Amino acid sequence: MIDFIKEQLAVRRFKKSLRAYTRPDQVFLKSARTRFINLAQQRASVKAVVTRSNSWKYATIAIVVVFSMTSGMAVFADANNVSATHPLYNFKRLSEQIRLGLSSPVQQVELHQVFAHRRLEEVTELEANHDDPPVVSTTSVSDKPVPDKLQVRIDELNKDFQKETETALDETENIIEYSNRETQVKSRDSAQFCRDILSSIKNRPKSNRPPSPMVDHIKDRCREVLED
Amino acid sequence: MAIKDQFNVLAEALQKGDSGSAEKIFDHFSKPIYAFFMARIRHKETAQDLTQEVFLKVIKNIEQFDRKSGNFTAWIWQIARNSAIDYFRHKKPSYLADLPYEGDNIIEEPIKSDESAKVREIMTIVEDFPPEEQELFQMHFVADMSYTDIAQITGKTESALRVAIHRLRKKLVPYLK
Repeated sequence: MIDFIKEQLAVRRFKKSLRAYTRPDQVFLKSARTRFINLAQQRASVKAVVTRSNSWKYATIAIVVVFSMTSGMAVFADANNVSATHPLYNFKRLSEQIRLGLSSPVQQVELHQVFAHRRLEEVTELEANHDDPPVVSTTSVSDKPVPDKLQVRIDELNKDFQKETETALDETENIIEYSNRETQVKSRDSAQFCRDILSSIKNRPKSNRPPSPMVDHIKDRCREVLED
Repeated sequence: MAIKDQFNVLAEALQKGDSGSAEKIFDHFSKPIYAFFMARIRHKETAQDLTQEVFLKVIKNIEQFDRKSGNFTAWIWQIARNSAIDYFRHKKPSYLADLPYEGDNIIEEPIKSDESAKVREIMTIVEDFPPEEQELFQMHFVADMSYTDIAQITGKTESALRVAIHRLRKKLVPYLK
């Protein structure tokens, strides 16, 4: 037992001496510590810069991807003249706005004319798709109420049709007023446009619903232009 | 399953660049790692260089440390162990500084106590032990590492280590008296 205790004490004493012998000097410890901490801080700042640059990289990629997708869908929707119920319809309208924004005043008139035709086609298509097939019965089809959402959509498109047509006619008048060179051409274009619009309205499939006041207004306006 | 180490949290903070964690890690590991090198190489400047190298490697490779599956204490000691292995692999065959009584130790010799002389004597004796026992001596007696950490580094079980260290102690005792 005493030998065991002596052994333990000897080992303990040796360990203590060993630690004293292998103890690093304070100057070294201090300089190494400072160096290590500085490196950790440098690393933190480098990491922050890398993180920031990565954030910019990802943001730029995301913007490019979103822009590419949006422009691609807009071009596709515009080129295919998608219907008002198509999921890409809003992209078509966006594309139209961009085309208007990038065009000269003369081109804008032509575009408004094209877009007026488009709105009219969209309304016609929407109404045609809504109408039930002809039913031979005593019940009048016109009694069937139009769903609210659809009616709102039709009204919106009619309003857009009116706006596009009137803008086209107003802009033509402005051009006639300020440009002598294109007066005759634009005046002829405007008359042709009105004839086309009236023809389109006339040739629309017969709807079960009462005519839109906006369409009636355009009819009157076009007749006025033709009389002039 | 890895044993959770209290230094894992500090390592994670160090990964994020926290200098406070760097201070705590250095304060805890610098002395035993230096002692480990000093006992193994027995040259003050080399031990200092290798100690600094270990902490440089810690900073350089801290991203590779996985807090969830790893044990930081075992990880840093593995770096120290590999540094010592690399040193012996690349060191020149004859190097004056590696001799037992070199450099500063020679100058300090007259004022060193008998205890220091005894320590050097034991270290010289340990040099003749098998490499595994030498490493155990450096890890357990010099660096004062826990059985758990030694087990993680050496890949042995804790019970096997206890037996091995008990045998090493028995082997050393006659020289300590």
